Amino acid sequence: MKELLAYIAHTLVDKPEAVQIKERAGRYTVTYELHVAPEDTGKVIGRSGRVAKAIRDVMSVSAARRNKRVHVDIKS
Amino acid sequence: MNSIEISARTVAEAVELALSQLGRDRDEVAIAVLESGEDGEEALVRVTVVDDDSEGEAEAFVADEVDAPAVGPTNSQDVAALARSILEELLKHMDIHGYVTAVHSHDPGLQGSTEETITLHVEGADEQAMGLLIGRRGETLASIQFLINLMVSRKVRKWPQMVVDVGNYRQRRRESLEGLARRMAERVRQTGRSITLEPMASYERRLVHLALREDATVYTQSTGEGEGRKITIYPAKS
Repeated sequence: MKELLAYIAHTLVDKPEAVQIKERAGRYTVTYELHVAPEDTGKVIGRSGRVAKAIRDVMSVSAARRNKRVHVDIKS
Repeated sequence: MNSIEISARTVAEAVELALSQLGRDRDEVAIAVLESGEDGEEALVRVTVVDDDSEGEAEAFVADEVDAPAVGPTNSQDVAALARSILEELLKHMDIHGYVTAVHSHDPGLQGSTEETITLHVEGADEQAMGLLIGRRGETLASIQFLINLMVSRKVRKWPQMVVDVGNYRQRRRESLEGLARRMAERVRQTGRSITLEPMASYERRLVHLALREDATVYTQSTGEGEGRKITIYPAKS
């Protein structure tokens, strides 16, 4: 799951070296904190959060395959 | 032999057969779907070899699309291959085994231009996994398609529209929306009262409008904002 988020984030940003992902695993829910360079925040959120929604949808599929739920928080 | 046409039960099977007959890899060929094999009909594909030692064949294949000069180092073949590899990478990370086939099509657009589309067909044996990829009302599919377009756009300067389909979902959904539209129009006609459908995405609303455009007894209108935008079918004013 983490690799999926990393792959997407690295492809979308201008500064892939600044991408950091923190993972917190709960019993049913996994939470990811996605950190990107401040100038890249818009690229992973998108207009009206469209990119963020797409990332969360795709992550949810990955989580469902593992019988989990997933949260993705975007930080800069 | 540089180009063959093969039919089989599904597009993926036909492509597999064609590749093994040609002894080629998917990267070395251009695939055109002639019949997509819906409703129990056979799928028919034409597979053309486009590697270096058959330049002529490659040119023959792209001859009808060279009007728009390729920008940057990529052509449509490369973009299709790139899009396919990105989608395969996403599927791999999602733990989903799916077979991705990229298909080029040229549809007549507005003002006589042609619209180039690359459709990425995903087929897999795991029905549950395919269902997850589609999501409720195709929302996940829309998100995947949006991401693919975005990720490809980060790598190339110019790219055709890319559509992602899973197990012919888009085709089936279109047929069911058109059926719904016609049944509701019939009810409006009989009762003389308008009917409002549930909220739909823009491309789905478009299908409903188009399905009833020719019907003189009703007219359609969209109301509401964003996610809640929906269609109402009205009896024609007499």
